[in-house]
Amino acid sequence: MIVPGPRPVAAGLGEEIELAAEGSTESVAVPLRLARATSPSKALERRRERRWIKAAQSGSEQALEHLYRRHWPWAHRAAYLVVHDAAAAEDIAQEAFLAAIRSLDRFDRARPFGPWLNRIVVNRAIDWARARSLRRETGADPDADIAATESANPERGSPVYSDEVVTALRQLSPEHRAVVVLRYLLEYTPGEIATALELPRGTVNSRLRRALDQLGTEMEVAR
Amino acid sequence: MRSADLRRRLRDAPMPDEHEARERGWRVVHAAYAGRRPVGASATAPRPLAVALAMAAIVLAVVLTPAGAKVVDLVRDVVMPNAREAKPLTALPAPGTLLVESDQGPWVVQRDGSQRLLGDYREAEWSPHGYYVAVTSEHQLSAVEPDGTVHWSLNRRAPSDPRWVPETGYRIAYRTGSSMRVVGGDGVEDHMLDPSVAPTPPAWRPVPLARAKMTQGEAGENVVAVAEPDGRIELIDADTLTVYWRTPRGPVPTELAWSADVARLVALSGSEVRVFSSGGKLLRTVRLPAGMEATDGAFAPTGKAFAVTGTMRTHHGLRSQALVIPLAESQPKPRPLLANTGTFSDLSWSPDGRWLLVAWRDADAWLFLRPRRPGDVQTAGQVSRQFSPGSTSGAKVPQPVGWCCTSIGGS
Repeated sequence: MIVPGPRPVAAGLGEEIELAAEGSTESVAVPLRLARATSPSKALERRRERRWIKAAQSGSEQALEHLYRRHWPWAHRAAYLVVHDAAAAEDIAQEAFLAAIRSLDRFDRARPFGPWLNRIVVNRAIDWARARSLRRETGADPDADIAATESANPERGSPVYSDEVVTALRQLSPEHRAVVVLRYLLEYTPGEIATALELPRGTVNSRLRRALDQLGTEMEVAR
Repeated sequence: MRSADLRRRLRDAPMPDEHEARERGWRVVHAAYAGRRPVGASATAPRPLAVALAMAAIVLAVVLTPAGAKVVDLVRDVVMPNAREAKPLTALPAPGTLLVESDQGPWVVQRDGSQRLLGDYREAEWSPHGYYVAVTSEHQLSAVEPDGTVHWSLNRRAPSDPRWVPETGYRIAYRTGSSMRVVGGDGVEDHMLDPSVAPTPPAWRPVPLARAKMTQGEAGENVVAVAEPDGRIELIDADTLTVYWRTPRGPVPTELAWSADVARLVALSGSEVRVFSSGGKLLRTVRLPAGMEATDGAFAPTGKAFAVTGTMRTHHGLRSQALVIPLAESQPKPRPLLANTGTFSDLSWSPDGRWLLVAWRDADAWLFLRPRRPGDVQTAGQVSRQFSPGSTSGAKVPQPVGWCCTSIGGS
């Protein structure tokens, strides 16, 4: 997935704030955190999105497709990074969009679409991952299940996942994965994560710290 | 690692099947959008004209088209010597209301033979007391009343095999894609139960209503058996997701069914019936007659007998059997009820357990059998016309999927 960069993001936990500059030729991605549309281009984006939502509410399939193409990559990726299961991530992202369609007529166009959608995605992904870890308590090996599922569905593509960050992420609990995904993929602030997950902000901060510590440890071990 | 590195690697990490997933997703979302109801439209547009036309077409089919005599003759000649002549279905032989799946959608058939098309749905399943029907369409699971009024709907990709918790109806389990999900009987709190299951309908463990009321909300109230892709069967608490037990691997069942007294769980697969205890222990395996492949199976309401239909290939073509396995006996052996050429495809017990309805696909007929009096067979012919009024091409033989509940007006 190619995303435009660089762009400033709000800092949290004393981290560095700049994104690495990368050339981008395909403009498909958008800021998904809650709207802090300060720049003219972002304001323009927001206006365009409002128009799409309005048109989709009126029955425009083209507007719906714009919304879909704009937000699917992030929703799907966020789900995948929390659940680490390709089929489940696809289901979760689809279900979030279906929920969006169900609520489209009631949707408040003053609200940004992405955060609303991703809130559904991440919460469903956490539920799914929790469900799997509950099943683990009965003695089944969840990773074996994942491998079996993916090998049983070869059309879903290679189950081999080589990126060490993602492999390390898999070792975290679903709740910790979710805050990492919200913070570093979707670029939410800790306050926004607290709102999305209905958690106290202090809990979000501590989960982020623990998650990053564990992520570092897992990657050290992997090396 | 710098935050920027972490961001970049999360953004750029390869994802399996990313492009294909996006396009599959778009097809589903687009279809759901195309099928959504415009704002302000009635959830259930009344269809008096359609119903009237349907009923008129049935009358015409019955009165003006006595063709199909060959079928009638066939039924009369070969089913049983004392089989009554095949007539269109005009009444059910036992109390209750029958749910039927047809090319045009599910129908509700009252005991007096009156029938109502529920709508353009694929599958249908009675709620425990027949107050609602869970129906599926391409992208929705819905609960509708027997008059067709939609109670709620849930958008899901290709939902199938909805099953209500017996007695309470507090939960519905259903399949979507390769997963099993559970939703409340009121359409809320939908959640994943098992991300990877076999294409087998789930089977809720019955709980007596009085006990269910006392234990409402407690763990163990809503417990369901599901089949895994490797043939294992799991008993899962739908609310806590605790897996109570899991059987060893085996043939993937086509049907799972609990006896009413919860003493036995039956797994029907191919040519055998495996019987498990309530604790998941394999009690016995009952082999079907040589060469027979099961097409359907159902517990009698008493829970003491399990009926099976199946087909076998012979030199003269397909031959079918309907049989009953008296599972309450210490050494249960299949007891044949009826055998004939063609395919017996579906079966349903009457609520009083006295009648067994078997769909006979090749003869376009339904057979009402009495397991206690095997010679007494009532036959309804030309059933596909009756449940596909106006259809000019060969409609599928309608499938009886549930015979429910005397309390809902089945007289």
